[in-house]
Amino acid sequence: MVHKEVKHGIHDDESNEEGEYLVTDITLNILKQLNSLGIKASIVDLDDIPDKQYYSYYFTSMPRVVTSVGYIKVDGMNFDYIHILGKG
Amino acid sequence: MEVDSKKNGGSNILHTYGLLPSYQLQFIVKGNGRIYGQLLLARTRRKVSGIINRRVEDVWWEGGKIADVLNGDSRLKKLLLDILTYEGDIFVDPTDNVVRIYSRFKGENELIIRKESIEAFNIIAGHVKKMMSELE
Repeated sequence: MVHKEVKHGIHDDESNEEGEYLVTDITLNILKQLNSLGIKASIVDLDDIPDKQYYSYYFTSMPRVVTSVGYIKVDGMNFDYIHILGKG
Repeated sequence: MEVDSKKNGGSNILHTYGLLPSYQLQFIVKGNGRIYGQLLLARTRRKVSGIINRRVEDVWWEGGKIADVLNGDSRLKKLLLDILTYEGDIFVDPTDNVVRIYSRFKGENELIIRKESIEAFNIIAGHVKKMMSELE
Protein backbone atom coordinates (compact mmCIF):
# COMPACT_ATOMS: atom_id res chain seq x y z
CA MET A 1 0.00 0.00 0.00
CA VAL A 2 1.41 3.44 -1.01
CA HIS A 3 0.86 6.41 1.30
CA LYS A 4 0.72 9.94 -0.06
CA GLU A 5 2.54 12.56 2.03
CA VAL A 6 0.18 15.36 3.04
CA LYS A 7 1.19 18.56 4.92
CA HIS A 8 -1.77 19.27 7.16
CA GLY A 9 -2.85 22.90 7.66
CA ILE A 10 -0.87 24.37 4.76
CA HIS A 11 -2.40 25.06 1.38
CA ASP A 12 -0.25 25.08 -1.72
CA ASP A 13 -0.69 28.79 -2.46
CA GLU A 14 -0.05 30.19 1.04
CA SER A 15 3.11 28.37 2.07
CA ASN A 16 5.46 31.10 0.80
CA GLU A 17 3.55 34.38 1.22
CA GLU A 18 2.04 33.99 4.66
CA GLY A 19 4.20 36.68 6.29
CA GLU A 20 3.74 39.36 3.63
CA TYR A 21 -0.03 39.16 3.40
CA LEU A 22 -0.81 40.70 6.80
CA VAL A 23 1.67 43.57 6.37
CA THR A 24 0.13 44.69 3.09
CA ASP A 25 -3.34 44.27 4.51
CA ILE A 26 -2.74 46.62 7.46
CA THR A 27 -1.26 49.38 5.31
CA LEU A 28 -4.12 49.09 2.83
CA ASN A 29 -6.62 49.08 5.68
CA ILE A 30 -5.23 52.37 7.02
CA LEU A 31 -5.16 53.83 3.49
CA LYS A 32 -8.81 52.90 2.95
CA GLN A 33 -9.80 54.51 6.24
CA LEU A 34 -7.97 57.72 5.33
CA ASN A 35 -9.60 57.84 1.91
CA SER A 36 -13.03 57.34 3.46
CA LEU A 37 -12.36 60.39 5.67
CA GLY A 38 -11.62 62.42 2.55
CA ILE A 39 -7.85 62.53 3.05
CA LYS A 40 -5.63 62.02 0.00
CA ALA A 41 -2.96 59.47 0.83
CA SER A 42 -0.66 56.99 -0.92
CA ILE A 43 1.72 54.23 0.10
CA VAL A 44 5.37 55.25 -0.31
CA ASP A 45 8.68 53.44 -0.26
CA LEU A 46 10.75 53.19 2.92
CA ASP A 47 13.74 54.87 1.24
CA ASP A 48 11.95 58.23 0.99
CA ILE A 49 12.42 58.88 4.70
CA PRO A 50 16.03 59.14 5.87
CA ASP A 51 15.25 58.66 9.56
CA LYS A 52 15.90 55.15 10.83
CA GLN A 53 15.43 55.88 14.53
CA TYR A 54 11.84 55.38 15.63
CA TYR A 55 12.07 56.76 19.18
CA SER A 56 14.31 59.26 20.95
CA TYR A 57 13.94 57.24 24.19
CA TYR A 58 13.51 60.34 26.31
CA PHE A 59 10.34 58.46 27.32
CA THR A 60 11.61 55.27 28.87
CA SER A 61 8.37 53.32 28.40
CA MET A 62 8.82 53.03 24.63
CA PRO A 63 9.44 49.51 23.27
CA ARG A 64 12.94 48.49 22.18
CA VAL A 65 11.92 45.93 19.57
CA VAL A 66 9.64 47.23 16.82
CA THR A 67 9.21 46.45 13.14
CA SER A 68 8.50 49.01 10.46
CA VAL A 69 5.42 47.93 8.52
CA GLY A 70 4.95 50.78 6.06
CA TYR A 71 4.75 54.47 5.30
CA ILE A 72 1.76 56.40 4.01
CA LYS A 73 2.25 59.85 2.49
CA VAL A 74 -0.55 62.25 3.36
CA ASP A 75 -1.47 65.35 1.37
CA GLY A 76 -3.12 68.49 2.71
CA MET A 77 -2.27 67.91 6.37
CA ASN A 78 0.36 69.42 8.68
CA PHE A 79 2.08 66.03 9.09
CA ASP A 80 3.83 64.59 6.05
CA TYR A 81 3.75 60.82 6.63
CA ILE A 82 2.06 58.17 8.72
CA HIS A 83 4.47 55.46 9.82
CA ILE A 84 2.99 52.11 10.85
CA LEU A 85 5.04 50.20 13.40
CA GLY A 86 4.47 46.66 14.61
CA LYS A 87 5.41 45.52 18.11
CA GLY A 88 8.04 42.82 18.28
CA MET B 1 -13.02 25.35 17.42
CA GLU B 2 -16.19 24.58 19.34
CA VAL B 3 -16.24 23.69 22.99
CA ASP B 4 -19.32 22.68 24.90
CA SER B 5 -19.25 24.92 27.93
CA LYS B 6 -22.95 24.78 28.79
CA LYS B 7 -22.14 22.83 31.90
CA ASN B 8 -20.32 25.88 33.24
CA GLY B 9 -23.22 28.20 32.38
CA GLY B 10 -21.38 29.83 29.53
CA SER B 11 -21.95 30.17 25.81
CA ASN B 12 -22.24 27.14 23.56
CA ILE B 13 -19.44 28.34 21.29
CA LEU B 14 -16.01 29.35 22.51
CA HIS B 15 -14.07 31.41 19.99
CA THR B 16 -10.38 30.68 20.18
CA TYR B 17 -8.81 33.63 18.40
CA GLY B 18 -5.08 33.95 18.72
CA LEU B 19 -3.20 36.94 20.05
CA LEU B 20 -3.54 39.79 17.57
CA PRO B 21 -0.45 41.81 16.67
CA SER B 22 -0.16 45.38 17.97
CA TYR B 23 0.44 48.39 15.76
CA GLN B 24 1.28 52.02 16.36
CA LEU B 25 0.64 54.92 14.01
CA GLN B 26 3.32 57.60 14.08
CA PHE B 27 2.49 60.95 12.46
CA ILE B 28 5.73 62.30 11.03
CA VAL B 29 6.62 65.96 10.56
CA LYS B 30 9.71 66.28 8.38
CA GLY B 31 12.59 68.22 9.91
CA ASN B 32 15.15 70.52 8.37
CA GLY B 33 18.27 68.72 9.56
CA ARG B 34 18.48 70.58 12.87
CA ILE B 35 18.39 68.67 16.14
CA TYR B 36 15.82 70.20 18.51
CA GLY B 37 16.30 67.83 21.44
CA GLN B 38 14.05 68.57 24.39
CA LEU B 39 12.56 71.79 22.93
CA LEU B 40 10.01 69.78 20.92
CA LEU B 41 9.54 67.04 23.47
CA ALA B 42 6.10 66.72 25.07
CA ARG B 43 3.56 64.23 26.36
CA THR B 44 0.03 64.37 27.75
CA ARG B 45 -0.96 63.74 31.34
CA ARG B 46 -4.57 62.94 32.23
CA LYS B 47 -6.84 62.98 35.22
CA VAL B 48 -9.21 60.02 34.84
CA SER B 49 -12.33 59.21 36.83
CA GLY B 50 -14.43 56.05 37.05
CA ILE B 51 -13.45 52.40 37.32
CA ILE B 52 -15.51 50.70 34.61
CA ASN B 53 -16.59 53.69 32.51
CA ARG B 54 -13.37 55.64 32.57
CA ARG B 55 -13.65 59.30 31.64
CA VAL B 56 -10.89 61.83 31.06
CA GLU B 57 -11.70 64.84 33.24
CA ASP B 58 -8.61 66.93 32.63
CA VAL B 59 -5.62 66.83 30.29
CA TRP B 60 -2.44 68.83 30.15
CA TRP B 61 0.94 68.69 28.39
CA GLU B 62 4.34 68.20 30.01
CA GLY B 63 7.70 68.70 28.37
CA GLY B 64 9.78 71.33 26.63
CA LYS B 65 8.87 74.65 25.06
CA ILE B 66 6.23 73.07 22.79
CA ALA B 67 4.23 71.91 25.83
CA ASP B 68 3.42 75.55 26.75
CA VAL B 69 2.14 76.20 23.22
CA LEU B 70 0.01 73.02 23.23
CA ASN B 71 -1.41 73.86 26.67
CA GLY B 72 -2.62 77.20 25.31
CA ASP B 73 -4.77 75.64 22.52
CA SER B 74 -8.35 75.33 23.79
CA ARG B 75 -9.66 73.55 20.65
CA LEU B 76 -6.96 70.88 21.03
CA LYS B 77 -7.80 70.41 24.71
CA LYS B 78 -11.47 69.87 23.87
CA LEU B 79 -10.54 67.26 21.25
CA LEU B 80 -8.09 65.51 23.61
CA LEU B 81 -10.72 65.18 26.34
CA ASP B 82 -12.80 63.33 23.76
CA ILE B 83 -10.17 61.06 22.19
CA LEU B 84 -7.76 60.19 25.01
CA THR B 85 -10.08 57.49 26.39
CA TYR B 86 -9.23 55.27 23.41
CA GLU B 87 -5.99 56.84 22.16
CA GLY B 88 -4.12 56.76 25.47
CA ASP B 89 -1.39 59.33 26.08
CA ILE B 90 -0.03 61.25 23.10
CA PHE B 91 3.72 61.84 22.73
CA VAL B 92 5.65 64.40 20.67
CA ASP B 93 9.06 62.85 20.12
CA PRO B 94 11.83 64.45 18.04
CA THR B 95 14.26 61.91 16.57
CA ASP B 96 17.23 62.44 14.23
CA ASN B 97 15.62 64.19 11.25
CA VAL B 98 11.89 64.17 11.96
CA VAL B 99 9.40 64.80 14.76
CA ARG B 100 7.12 61.88 15.53
CA ILE B 101 3.69 62.26 17.13
CA TYR B 102 2.12 59.04 18.36
CA SER B 103 -0.17 57.41 20.88
CA ARG B 104 -0.28 53.88 22.29
CA PHE B 105 0.07 50.55 20.47
CA LYS B 106 -3.31 49.18 19.46
CA GLY B 107 -4.45 45.68 18.61
CA GLU B 108 -5.26 44.92 14.99
CA ASN B 109 -8.98 44.91 15.77
CA GLU B 110 -8.99 48.42 17.31
CA LEU B 111 -6.84 50.08 14.64
CA ILE B 112 -9.54 52.54 13.61
CA ILE B 113 -8.78 56.09 12.50
CA ARG B 114 -11.36 58.55 13.79
CA LYS B 115 -11.93 62.00 12.36
CA GLU B 116 -11.38 63.64 15.76
CA SER B 117 -8.05 61.84 16.24
CA ILE B 118 -6.78 62.95 12.83
CA GLU B 119 -7.84 66.52 13.58
CA ALA B 120 -6.04 66.47 16.94
CA PHE B 121 -2.83 65.05 15.41
CA ASN B 122 -3.09 67.64 12.62
CA ILE B 123 -3.32 70.50 15.14
CA ILE B 124 -0.34 69.16 17.11
CA ALA B 125 1.69 68.80 13.88
CA GLY B 126 0.76 72.38 12.97
CA HIS B 127 2.15 73.66 16.28
CA VAL B 128 5.32 71.57 15.79
CA LYS B 129 5.85 72.98 12.28
CA LYS B 130 5.28 76.52 13.47
CA MET B 131 7.76 76.14 16.32
CA MET B 132 10.35 74.57 14.00
CA SER B 133 10.14 77.60 11.70
CA GLU B 134 10.38 79.98 14.68
CA LEU B 135 13.50 78.22 16.02
CA GLU B 136 15.37 78.42 12.69
